[in-house]
Amino acid sequence: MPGIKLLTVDNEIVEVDADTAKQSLLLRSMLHDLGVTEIDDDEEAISLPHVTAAALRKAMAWCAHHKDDPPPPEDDENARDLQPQQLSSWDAEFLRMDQSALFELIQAANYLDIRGLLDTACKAVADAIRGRSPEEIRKAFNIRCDFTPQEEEQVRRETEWCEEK
Amino acid sequence: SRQSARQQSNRSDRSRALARFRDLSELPPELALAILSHLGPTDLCLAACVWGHLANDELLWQALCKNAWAYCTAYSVPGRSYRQLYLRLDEASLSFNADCFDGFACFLRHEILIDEPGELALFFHGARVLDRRQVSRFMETRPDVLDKLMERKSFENQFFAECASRQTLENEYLSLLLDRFSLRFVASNPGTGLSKEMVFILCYSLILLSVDLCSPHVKNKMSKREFIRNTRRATTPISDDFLGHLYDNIYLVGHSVAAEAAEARSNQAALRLESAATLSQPVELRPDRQAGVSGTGVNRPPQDSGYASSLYTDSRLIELLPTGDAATPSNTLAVSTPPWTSISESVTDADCNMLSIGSSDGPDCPDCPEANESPE
Repeated sequence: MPGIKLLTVDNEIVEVDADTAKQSLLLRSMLHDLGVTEIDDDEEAISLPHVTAAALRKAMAWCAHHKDDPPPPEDDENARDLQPQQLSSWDAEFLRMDQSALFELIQAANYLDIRGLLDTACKAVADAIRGRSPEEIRKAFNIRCDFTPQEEEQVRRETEWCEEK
Repeated sequence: SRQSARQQSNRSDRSRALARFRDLSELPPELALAILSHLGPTDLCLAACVWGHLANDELLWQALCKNAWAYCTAYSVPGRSYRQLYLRLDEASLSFNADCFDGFACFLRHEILIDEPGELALFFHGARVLDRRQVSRFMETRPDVLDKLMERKSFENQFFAECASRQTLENEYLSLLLDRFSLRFVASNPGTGLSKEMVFILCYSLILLSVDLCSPHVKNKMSKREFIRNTRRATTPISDDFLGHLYDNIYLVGHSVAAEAAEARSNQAALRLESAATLSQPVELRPDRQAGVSGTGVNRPPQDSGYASSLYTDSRLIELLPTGDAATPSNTLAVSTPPWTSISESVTDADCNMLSIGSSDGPDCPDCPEANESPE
């Protein structure tokens, strides 16, 4: 398998499998434009200014596992289910990491343009939000409450309807 | 090298910034919204307490609105707040599910809908959160809306037993719909050579068959041969092969659909049919509405008096069907004695013609490829 070298934002050179990397639409078009086909010691590494090495390795591991997936269906708002879809157990296990690492991965997936990973990781964060009260969300995401008690009360009143369901 | 050193320090700054991300609001907004778009209304409202401006984003609420109510008149009003609209739609829908007329008044009061059949049909067609029983109650008073609703559905190239059972099981307003369904099915599939009356008869026989097959109360199930024999008498020009396909389809597909329906307790039509079969409870069939359908060039035999009946009473289906004469009613409740045995006289040859489902359009029904062949 031909490999390619990628230079991450934290100055690490990560070598990845070219076929796996092509699941990233960004890398695919870069490789296409550069005409890179196989690893070459003289070849300069491709610079990825928005991706950390950890996130890149994670993203590539995800791509390697999902390389045989069918292409994602076209986004159709009308077809979206009311019920949230469960992540596969592999994905759920794979994305078991702390919030900041997950956010890093989301950014990487977005920059590298890997739709499936982006979607999956977003779902994982949404799962962390779902079913929690505002206080619990703040705790989980380490957020200081910047509402005054009056504001908080107002928001609570506005959203009362949804808590009784 | 100075340049590369600067580049390096830039890089490490950025990597530190990346590692620091913990909060949604520090992500680029499009990513934060992508995350929030996976939340339902309740969670989104709660999230709004934490990330006010993000979770109140109009696009998110628009998606939620259109997911639950694909269409309403208010969507086309410019400058609407979708979040506010969602709350109103939700309120009115809750009220509708308690009492359809109160709810409908609420829809009008909030200017969510205007009282125009086409608009209402679009709304009901795309609304996923309304209680079917209430919709049915509403439709009984609004045949104009029901007509428009039927026009929205296209049955082109669907295996008709499948869509017939899906239609009827999903809807309370069974007989109302069946009449319109037959009309619409024939209009959607002009090449089949089926008349509206034939579709109507077949639908009823198939519904009864599916009840017979899946109801635990019916001990002696109708066999394929019995079904073919009984139905053949009513529908002379239809080939036995085709009836056999119908039986198989109901056996395989209709069966599971009905069983799921009964399990889910959501598809009341199946349950009603079932309870009617066992308790011989009359099921209202609203003859007045049927008479209201204007035939589109379909030759219906004179039958106006023949409609007043309820399913599974003594005379049972015969009176539902467009027959001219008062046929001898079957007096048993066993489904294996079909009530439409004397229908054949009233269905004219011109009505029946030859039967060939989907023969012009090639196979389109993955479950039953043979059914697409034109039977001899």
